[in-house]
Amino acid sequence: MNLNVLLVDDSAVMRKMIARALKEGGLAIGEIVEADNGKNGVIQAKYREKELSLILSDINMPEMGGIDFVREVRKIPFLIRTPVIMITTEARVETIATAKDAGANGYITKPFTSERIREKVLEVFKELGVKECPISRS
Amino acid sequence: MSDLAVVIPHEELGRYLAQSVLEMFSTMFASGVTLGASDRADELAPCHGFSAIVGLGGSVRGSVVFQCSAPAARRFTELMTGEAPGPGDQLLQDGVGEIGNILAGGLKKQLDSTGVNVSISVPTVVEGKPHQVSASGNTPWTVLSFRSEGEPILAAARIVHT
Repeated sequence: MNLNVLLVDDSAVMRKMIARALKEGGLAIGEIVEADNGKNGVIQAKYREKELSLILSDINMPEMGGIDFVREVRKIPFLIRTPVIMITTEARVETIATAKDAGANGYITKPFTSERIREKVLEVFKELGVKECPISRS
Repeated sequence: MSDLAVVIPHEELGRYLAQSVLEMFSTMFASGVTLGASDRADELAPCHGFSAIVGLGGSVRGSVVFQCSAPAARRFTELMTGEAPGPGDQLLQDGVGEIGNILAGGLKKQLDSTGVNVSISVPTVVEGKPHQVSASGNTPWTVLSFRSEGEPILAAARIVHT
């Protein structure tokens, strides 16, 4: 199974960095779709809801932040159980709790390594009981 | 609120900055940095490259600034994305802004752990030569100069409790 990923971050550099980390981390990555804020992320999520297997999102973004983005994603029928991981500089316990309440499954703080992203993705997939292992066979 | 109400001592802020810089460079760039001592300065020297400025809010008021030369900005952006940005590439400003964001996030994390509630703004990036970053009020900057691959870099912060 290849993971089709939606990446939501207002920084183009960060989106490239996360995409690179996903691939270098040994995960079997299929298509990566990008959005530069939560609002555009929701548009992409609705358009591709049946294809997405993982969503990674920043929290602090203009237009619509990551917490509201996750709340909107969880209203989309095919994405109710899709793994959502927040990647952000916001490390406060209250913010993590709010993100979890909104529907996020995991949390990575910046700065991060490829290994950290791989570990967190695998951890979240295991917690959610996703049977297909998203490890690259190459 | 008064600028006289500074509660984060200069030495402590310098330590927080140094820790944030070290964590960022070791994790993101896998490259060493040579840290200098932190100094106090009433104003920041003119910058000939890029400045990322991140505002601090919550129970404090202030700013975090990251400054580097254009060659350093190109190197950092390439290390982050795996792509070599060209001159004038928008990715350069974006990359420096993200470094400022992560630096401010590191500082925020340490201040949060001391019970000081801090929020950070999205970064603003200034490019040009020369430009000067200044702030109103009398609170001095805590300035940390360091080098990476021989390039001089600066991280600075100025914090006042509200």
